[in-house]
Amino acid sequence: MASAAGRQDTGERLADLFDAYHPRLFRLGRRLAGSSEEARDLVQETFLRAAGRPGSIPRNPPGDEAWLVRVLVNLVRDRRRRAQVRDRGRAVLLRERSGQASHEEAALAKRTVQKALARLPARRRAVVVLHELEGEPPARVAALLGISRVTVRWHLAVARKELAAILTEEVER
Amino acid sequence: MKRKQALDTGTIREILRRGDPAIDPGGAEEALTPEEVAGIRRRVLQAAEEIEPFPFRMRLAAAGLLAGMVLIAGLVLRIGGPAVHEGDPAQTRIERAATERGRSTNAGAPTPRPARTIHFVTAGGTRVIWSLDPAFDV
Repeated sequence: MASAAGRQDTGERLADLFDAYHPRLFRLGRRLAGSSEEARDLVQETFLRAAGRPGSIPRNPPGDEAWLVRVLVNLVRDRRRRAQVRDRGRAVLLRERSGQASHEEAALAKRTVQKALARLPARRRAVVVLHELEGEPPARVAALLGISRVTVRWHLAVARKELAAILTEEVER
Repeated sequence: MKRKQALDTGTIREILRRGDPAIDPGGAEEALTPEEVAGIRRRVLQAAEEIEPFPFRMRLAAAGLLAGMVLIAGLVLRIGGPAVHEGDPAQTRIERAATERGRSTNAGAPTPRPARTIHFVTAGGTRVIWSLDPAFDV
């Protein structure tokens, strides 16, 4: 009886968390992953993890959001590791195909940014997306990712150099 | 040699925002469709419903383990207190030498039976040594 009540409580809490954070997590997933389908899978996987470990989600509002963001960022990192192993041999082929895509300026800009972001390590990409695209201040990025402000600033500084090189390379291509 | 000019922070930010992956080419923010939202929500809540509460099972297992340990400890205490014996690894070299000396001076006396020990390690990694008193008689 107690466990049924506990399950109901967990269900309600998960529903509240889902309603509150799914748009924000989708946006983040979309910026970190390669496609909207992948972002949708990431949102679902994040909440399924939450359903599996409801006790580990902090009760306070900034804490629960940070927990979900960290799960999503870790999922992106795991997927990227697996994809790197799987796609190592197909990298050249994909590069050739992407060159034949639409010449529409907006789509090209989007693809360029996506490719540039994809070349950053997962944690650094998350820092850049949260700060540069979502406009979160470094202190908030640090809280969301569970790292120090110094680390956030270091990631941003390194990412700027890396992005400058990558984007210059992409624009000149 | 041609030297590439590095992009400054403002330009990088502008390029990133212009090509924001979460914004579609029409300028609208990409979002999940209501059907997708409903589908994910349903699957997540269903998963939460199916998952058995982990802490309850853990509590049950821990209670069983504790009861078993208490039972065993009670039996051991009834049998007798711990005694150091010649094969005990916990006995120091000095203690062992003292035992040997004592044995040689009491050469005429009947030699006591050596104490038996039972060694085991619990699931948590605690090493437990039980010394059984040889003088104990039921």
